[in-house]
Amino acid sequence: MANQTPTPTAPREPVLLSSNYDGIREYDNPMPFWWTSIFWLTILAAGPYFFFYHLGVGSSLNDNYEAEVGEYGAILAAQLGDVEADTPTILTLVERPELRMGGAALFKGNCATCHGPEGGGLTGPNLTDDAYINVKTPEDIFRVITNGVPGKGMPEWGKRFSKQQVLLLASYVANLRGTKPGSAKEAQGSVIEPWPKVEAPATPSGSAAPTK
Amino acid sequence: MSSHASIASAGTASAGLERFTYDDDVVRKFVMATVVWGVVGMLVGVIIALQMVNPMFNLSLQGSEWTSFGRLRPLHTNAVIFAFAGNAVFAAIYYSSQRLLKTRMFSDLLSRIHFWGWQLIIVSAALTLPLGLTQAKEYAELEWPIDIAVVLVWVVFAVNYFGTLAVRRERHLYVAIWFYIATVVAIAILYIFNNLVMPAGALKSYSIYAGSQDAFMQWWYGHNAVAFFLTTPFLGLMYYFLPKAADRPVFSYRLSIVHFWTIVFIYIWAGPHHLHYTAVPEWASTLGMLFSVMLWMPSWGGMLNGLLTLRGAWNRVATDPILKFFVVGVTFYGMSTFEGPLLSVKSVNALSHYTDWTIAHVHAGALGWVGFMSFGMVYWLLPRLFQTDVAKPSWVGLHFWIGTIGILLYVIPIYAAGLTQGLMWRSFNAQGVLEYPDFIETLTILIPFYWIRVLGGTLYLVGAVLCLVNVIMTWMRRPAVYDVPVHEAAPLTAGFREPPLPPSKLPQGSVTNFARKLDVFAQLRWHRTWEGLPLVFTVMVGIGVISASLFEIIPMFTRRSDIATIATVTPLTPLECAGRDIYVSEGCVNCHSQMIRPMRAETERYGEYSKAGEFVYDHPFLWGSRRIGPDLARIGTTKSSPLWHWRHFALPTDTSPGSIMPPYPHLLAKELNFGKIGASVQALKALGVPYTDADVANAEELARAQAKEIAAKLAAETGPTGVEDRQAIALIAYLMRLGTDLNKPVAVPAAEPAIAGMPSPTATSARPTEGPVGVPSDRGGE
Repeated sequence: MANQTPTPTAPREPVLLSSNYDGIREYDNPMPFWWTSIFWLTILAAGPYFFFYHLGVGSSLNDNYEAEVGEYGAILAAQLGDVEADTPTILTLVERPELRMGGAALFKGNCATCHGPEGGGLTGPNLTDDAYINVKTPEDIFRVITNGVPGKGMPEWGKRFSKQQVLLLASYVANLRGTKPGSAKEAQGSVIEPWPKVEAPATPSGSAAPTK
Repeated sequence: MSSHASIASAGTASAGLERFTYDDDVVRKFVMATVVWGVVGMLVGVIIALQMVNPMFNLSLQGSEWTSFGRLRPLHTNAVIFAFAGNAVFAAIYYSSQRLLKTRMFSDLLSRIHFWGWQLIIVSAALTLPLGLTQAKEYAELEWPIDIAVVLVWVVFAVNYFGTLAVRRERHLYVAIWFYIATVVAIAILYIFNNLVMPAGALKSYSIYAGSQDAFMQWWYGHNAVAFFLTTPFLGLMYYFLPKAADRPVFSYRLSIVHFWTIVFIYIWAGPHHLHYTAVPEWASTLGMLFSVMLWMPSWGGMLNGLLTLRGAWNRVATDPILKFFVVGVTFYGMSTFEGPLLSVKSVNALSHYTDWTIAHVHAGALGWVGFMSFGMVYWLLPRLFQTDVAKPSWVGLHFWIGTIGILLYVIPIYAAGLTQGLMWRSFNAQGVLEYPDFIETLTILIPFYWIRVLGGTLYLVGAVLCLVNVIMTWMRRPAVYDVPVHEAAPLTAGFREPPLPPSKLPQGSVTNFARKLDVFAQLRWHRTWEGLPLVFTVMVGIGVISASLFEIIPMFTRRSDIATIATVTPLTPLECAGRDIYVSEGCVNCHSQMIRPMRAETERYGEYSKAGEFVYDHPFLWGSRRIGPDLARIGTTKSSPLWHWRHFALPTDTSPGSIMPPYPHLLAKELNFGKIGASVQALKALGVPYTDADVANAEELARAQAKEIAAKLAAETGPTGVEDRQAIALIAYLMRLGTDLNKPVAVPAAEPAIAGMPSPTATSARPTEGPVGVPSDRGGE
């Protein structure tokens, strides 16, 4: 077992060391060239990388994040223009499909678990009927989303989202009124006046305005 | 090879030779434990895989609070790592070291204390983890009394091992022994320093580190547990059993030396790659990444020495299932150690972290490398240990194929699941809005993959059962009395001197003298001297491990600017502390992270990214490593309805259709032990969390007052009434607090009575400021 004869397939048998551990022998083969090369490369690349990102001009992860946020801010600003959280804006904003999509996504990700996927209400109140607890006007929706209802389970979303995002959300929610969800919670609060009639802004044809 | 002589024919030893036998009895015990615990650990794995397909397998609605995913997942990881792999490692070490050192183990008694002590630790882990007794840190879950037992058993093992080295009859240590020494030394250091805790009762404790420092220590430990418990001892195993089974010399002695020392030194640095984009300082994360990339070739050195040793024996691989196990095992080692550096690159990690990609990665390593190397060794040992033919030789090949198909059916769908979920989480549409804003839709889509995993895992388990049955049947065929061969070898003599180093072949001359010295150095024959001096060798390993650790640990604990103070971050109230204890105990951290990374895909979904200063009172940190459910770092800012939480605990699908979270009816029914809260607050105060003596003394009253307040809110929301003494109320209090401190209005000196007793910050800025926060003890009074 200890004395290996070279196998016919091996071109040349490498140097066998004299060591013998419980019958295990060792060759003195050199390390493969590609192995040593890649190893040195990974070592040599480390220094410049560290210096570039930590002592040089490389951007930090937070820099990258700020840039990403800035880009989205620019997209939103371009989409919305200079808008105020007033009744006409809130009632009509989501008639533009690209903005409705934004409002719907925010609602789905953050509101649906309490107010139901279609706004019919779960632990939170029904948003599709005519009864409201803290809302008299569309502007109140913006206000309630921004400030929350302390002690009643409604969080302060103004701390979480930009004013423009809350506006999208408020517009989406205002337009849930009058829709027919699959499951609806009983009315809470008191019935309020219908939303005032406002002039719809020019929208692209075939807009995905919610059915009233 | 040493000469054999049976006891019957034993006469006097030849001149100058000593006679000795090997202790194979303890190896038989470890092998048996390996296969038994292997089946147990893998069975728990299949059960938790089923729970991810359908939450009914948690059995919580059937009244079992002990079998939920959060409690069984640590049982699975601890069982397969410490029970299955651990016993396999010990079997390998005890069998091969005696033969490689030509001596019986130093002490049969210590060997048995090691064996039985270790099994006792495993049993206590199997009892305490389902009971929810956990330290919450991955692979370091066992509570402090068990930790002490682990350390004591490890000391017994170390004494036994170094004693064996001292009485050896083989001058030089073979490479397998180097790897075993590294295991003994490094695991002792890692385990002790990550498990330093402040007890708060017989079975409850708090890590002495907090927040990002605790996270750093945990992954220094966690990553190097992979290195020194699942890699180095298995490389040692490979270096003995693979050349034995293949009957071929090891490919390269020089490669052994270089890859051994580079693994020992470089591995230690790589831990922070588990914490990319988190609130650990970025320099640590960068070092973790760079050293992980450097680790690629040292790891592949092991793979090369394994696979290239088979040169000239590949024809036997086709027919010998044991070699098949080893070949596939070493191949998976190569794949995992390429994937590891890849995953440690920050931009790749941004996608992979928190997803199933990590799960697939570890299972490629665990099932492929650790599992198959262990099974290969068990089958090789079977006829030798039990001195009879293997009972079912055909099952060995069957096990190999079932196991291999099992691995593939496990890892391929889970890689797909990881990529799917990672890409869905970060997907924005053209308007810059999250394409999948509802977390659950990124989860339900994975269920078909999870079904395939159940199939793959079950196949792998079936293979392990075949192995267990085969071992038992072989054991039943054992001889009435085992033959104990007597070996002869000369003792080591004093005054041994290494032969001079072979001269360089480079030409003589003054110009090239340096080159000639370098050439002699590069031949690495000088390493022979260290191999003859176990103490020196061990000290060198210790220096390697400790120095590499300190390079990161010292700045981590001294650079105060890395953990910017946030004035509005205050300690939890006593009730919230109790809630956090429940969160820990239920293993919520196994599915929910509390660490939002600075990426818009995360901040849009979960809120402002997490800051180091938010976790300065977090003993232990609860950042998590996998999001089976959504991140909870800011859940307090978005789920301020106690009723929502109550209904969610009662039946998660009620509020979140499609959720696979287990229901927690026992939290709604069971009373909270208010009397215990004081001890927790006291322990945290001892760790430097700025509670006052009054907070400790009044912990119970403060907790009851806050519980009453939350229960009142719950009742006002048309929820149940009279539940202020329930465990769920404490957990709700904790969840409603999570992440709210960052943007809290700056407190005025006189705080409200309800949450009074908490220290009131008087600073004026809510944003992180550069300021001193370092070791826990001097953090008070900001």
